[in-house]
Amino acid sequence: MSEWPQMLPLIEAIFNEALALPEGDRQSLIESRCGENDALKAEVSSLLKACEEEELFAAARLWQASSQARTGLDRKRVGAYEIDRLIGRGGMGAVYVAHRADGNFEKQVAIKLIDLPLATDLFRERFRMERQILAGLNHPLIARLLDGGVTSDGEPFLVMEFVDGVPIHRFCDDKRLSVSDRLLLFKSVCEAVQFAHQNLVVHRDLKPDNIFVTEDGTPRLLDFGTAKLLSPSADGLGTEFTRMGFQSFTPQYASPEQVLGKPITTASDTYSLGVLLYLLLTGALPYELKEFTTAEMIAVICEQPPRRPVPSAGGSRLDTDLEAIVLKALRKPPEERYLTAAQLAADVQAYLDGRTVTARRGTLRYRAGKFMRRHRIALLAAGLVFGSLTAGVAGVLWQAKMAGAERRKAEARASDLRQLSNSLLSELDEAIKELPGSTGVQRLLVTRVLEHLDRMSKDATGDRLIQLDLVNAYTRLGNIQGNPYDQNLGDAAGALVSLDKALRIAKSLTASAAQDHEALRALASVEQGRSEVLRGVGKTAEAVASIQAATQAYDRLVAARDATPALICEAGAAYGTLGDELGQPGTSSLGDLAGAVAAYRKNLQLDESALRLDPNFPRARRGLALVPLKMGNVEIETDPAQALKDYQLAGERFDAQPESREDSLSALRMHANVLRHQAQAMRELREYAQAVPLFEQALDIQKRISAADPKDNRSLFDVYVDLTQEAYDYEYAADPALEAGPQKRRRVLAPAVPLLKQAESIALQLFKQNPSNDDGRIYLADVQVRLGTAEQNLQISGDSGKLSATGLAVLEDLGVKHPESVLAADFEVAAILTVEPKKLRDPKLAIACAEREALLTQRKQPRVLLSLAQAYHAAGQIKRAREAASEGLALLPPASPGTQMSRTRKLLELEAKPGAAM
Amino acid sequence: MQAETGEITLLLEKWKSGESSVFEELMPLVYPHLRQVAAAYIRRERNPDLLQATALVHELYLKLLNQKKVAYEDRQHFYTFSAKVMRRILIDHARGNQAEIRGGGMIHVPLSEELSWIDVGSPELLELNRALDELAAIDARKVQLVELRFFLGCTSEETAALMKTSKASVDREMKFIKTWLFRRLHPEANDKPV
Repeated sequence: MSEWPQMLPLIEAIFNEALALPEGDRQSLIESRCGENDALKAEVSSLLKACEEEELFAAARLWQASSQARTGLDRKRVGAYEIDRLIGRGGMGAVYVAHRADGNFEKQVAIKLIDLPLATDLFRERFRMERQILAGLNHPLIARLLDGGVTSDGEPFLVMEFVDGVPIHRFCDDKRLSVSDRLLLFKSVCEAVQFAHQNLVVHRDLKPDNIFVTEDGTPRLLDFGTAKLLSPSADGLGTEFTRMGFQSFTPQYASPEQVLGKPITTASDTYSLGVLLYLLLTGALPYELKEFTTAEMIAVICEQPPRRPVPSAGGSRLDTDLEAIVLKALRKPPEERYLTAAQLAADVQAYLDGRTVTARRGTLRYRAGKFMRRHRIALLAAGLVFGSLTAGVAGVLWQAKMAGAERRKAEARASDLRQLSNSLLSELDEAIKELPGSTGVQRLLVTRVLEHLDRMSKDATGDRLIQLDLVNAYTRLGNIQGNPYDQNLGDAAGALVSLDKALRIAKSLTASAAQDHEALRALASVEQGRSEVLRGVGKTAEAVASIQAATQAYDRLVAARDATPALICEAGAAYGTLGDELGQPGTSSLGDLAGAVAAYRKNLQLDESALRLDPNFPRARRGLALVPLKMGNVEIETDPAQALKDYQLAGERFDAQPESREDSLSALRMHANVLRHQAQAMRELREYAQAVPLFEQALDIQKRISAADPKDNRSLFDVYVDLTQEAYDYEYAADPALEAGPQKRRRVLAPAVPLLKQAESIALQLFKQNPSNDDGRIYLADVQVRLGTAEQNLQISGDSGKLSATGLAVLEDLGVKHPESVLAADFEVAAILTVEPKKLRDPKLAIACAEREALLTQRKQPRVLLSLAQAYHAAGQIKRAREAASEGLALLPPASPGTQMSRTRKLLELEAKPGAAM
Repeated sequence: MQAETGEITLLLEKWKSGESSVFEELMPLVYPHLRQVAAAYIRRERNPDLLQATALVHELYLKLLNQKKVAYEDRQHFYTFSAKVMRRILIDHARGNQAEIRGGGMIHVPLSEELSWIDVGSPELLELNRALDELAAIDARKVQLVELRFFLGCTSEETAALMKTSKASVDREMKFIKTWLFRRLHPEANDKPV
């Protein structure tokens, strides 16, 4: 905690007063001087504590400094050993060369002991730890622990093998080792480190000073004083971690996670090995630290890319493979590095053998990623990346034209290029997620990527790999431009142009090689993206055609023997999209409910077969829960009892997902979502009272989620949906067509009013944030009509009549403005038919509007035909009303006897019956 | 002569009132001399015959006074200025030190007996430098005390005389500053169970 400037004099005064008192009296002084100011109290106490620490620390250091002058004078003997000379001094102890005093052994040993008079228990604990660690590490390349004991002063000491050598980098330089000899030596070091890792030991301070090489060229690891024993666990080495303790680290060799005090893993050691390798190959360190402040270390070690390695042996750059190895070891996120020293050693061996090194994969991607991260901030810099990208492309294309041996190399470059394009696109993707407002930057990026791809495609004719790259890149770009199911830039037209380019190339690829599964999969993925974009702009029929092309491609891919769970899941998702487009209510669909259910069944089957291959495949597990939810949404239109069953199934499966157990936000949200759907099914089954507690639970969860992040509009909208859906429960229960008696109706309707009031204020808030969004205006207007109407029905005074009139006018305007919108038509019809005061109802408009909605939904939704029948009824056209109602009834499956009749069926039957009364 | 007296006095005056660019103009006055002291200091040649930084500043000051290049009243500014130069020399040295690859065991040479946990040429010294910059924003006088006492090596008495206060209050204030700096440089010490 840092004190605020104006308080410093007061803090200092109290501090001085306290220091003047005996220790026992200080606390009461602080209490009386600081009063209620807890922050001040904490500050003074913290300083007093620091004061004590400082005295101890200062004394220890003074003693240490002065003892340097009298090495070997007053400490000749340690246990059975006679000390010869001091060879090093670390933070907590000193290392001496010694020999056995009793003459049993001629061999020299190294003795490490704590020689601070004020060594804390922490020091001793670390010492004990080192002894324990070393005792378990018996390896020819690790300095062995020979003995240990306690000096006559009661301080512990360790006796270790004395390594008569020099630090590794000095050895390499003194002996003028060649690059391959350096690499062999480095590999041995990796082996020793790997051995430690296998024994659950992370060294944490690997650097030349701790790696000595003897005259015969054998390296040995020294100084496990900062090492940490990982506790064995089922998770294995890679994930097991330990926290940085009090022990410091050597900044030049420290990994980003060490600098940041984050968990240390074996990958932290491979990072330090990377620095070492860098040093051995270039004679320099990858970073230049000047200030050695925390801020600088964070900026340099955690953020800056390493300097480009320039070989000490001469030449302007390191061999590409070698550079890739070094840079992979030095990546900032631990999970992107070599996770173990053995992997690093294996890649070094691969290089020595002339084989492909694993580090080459993703090198460019990594570098581009780094570039892009900075570019997100600096628009100007963006041009640079693309400049270098374009240069790279030109190089690749040039090389691609070359024949023979160069060919293979060019292909390798092309694969790097693919990763680079992918990386640029995913950075663009991320940029959109992180900076939703600054579309200027993003649009520029899109333009640049597009230019680059267009240029590439001109030269790519006949090169399958590059063409495949292009398909994937155009697809991703198209999705970023305007796929409503991704984070996108809202440019559907541009998206379709990109996707059509992808489609054209993909089709030519699959036409020339029908068995090219990679191309087929790329084609399927383009069609999927196209379909989603087309659906987003209301071109549902074209969207369905596209997704059907995708499912056909997937059918062939899944039938192949080598189908992976990921592929099968992708195929399932395509069927899911087909189901949505055929009949998912509340979205633009063809209204083909039966077709939708069939597609969802196929989706479920595919997810199940993916799970048979990999029982824990997360996407398939999610699908298994999500698909019944979607099926329920379709079934609720015709068969709410079946919908309820599927919703319950979805609920059970969601709750069984691993992430649900972690109480994650999305799991909570999904839980609430499923509850609300169950409630809606009950409502449709006219079990209004039973539905209420479920609605309430869902609402409660969504409100909590929203309260946790009031700025999250999505959560806020969820609250709006829950409020309005629960309000329907009361409104339907009070429907005069179903319930007799105005008094009872009023009693049933009353709870809707507070819900609608809350919903109105949320809708208003959302509308104000984005006034140009007409959907938002529709939501606001609808809730205003309903609120005004409910208040009129309840005879609540106020200007409720005005409220419903205002809302209705907006809905009517938007209906004209968006004649293709099912949402607008749906709300408008419902509003005209139910609005109070009744004089606002315009039956002719209701008919026009309902006919439009029926047309838009292909006359396949019973609920819409019910609205149509009600509209005709309201206009006095009873015959037409009956026809529409019969048409609606015909869409319903035969009623199973003994089950509760659904609300829609009941109302349709009322309308279809001759002489049905309002 | 009189004009020259005015020059250094004027520069010191300007520097005191916060014109930091003047620092560079004044530097050549003491820098070469202090650097020599610092070099010996860094090598830890605690040779009793060797000049202490304070003694050197004193000598320089007397020389300038004799040459009438400074006025007697400039004494305090001259010392605080020299202390700042000394700080810069030692920080530059520490920076250079860190930029190299270091081999072998480190030898601890405390900056001052009073500040034994900061070694000359160490990364901590650079941290201290940062901490002092922070402290300067809160209480610049305290930084002057540190510079005089720890960098230039003034005794409590000398410091008290320069800062026109008593030795006891210098000692008291130094204790507080030392504690503040220690906590700033060793944040983990506060998290440790005692």
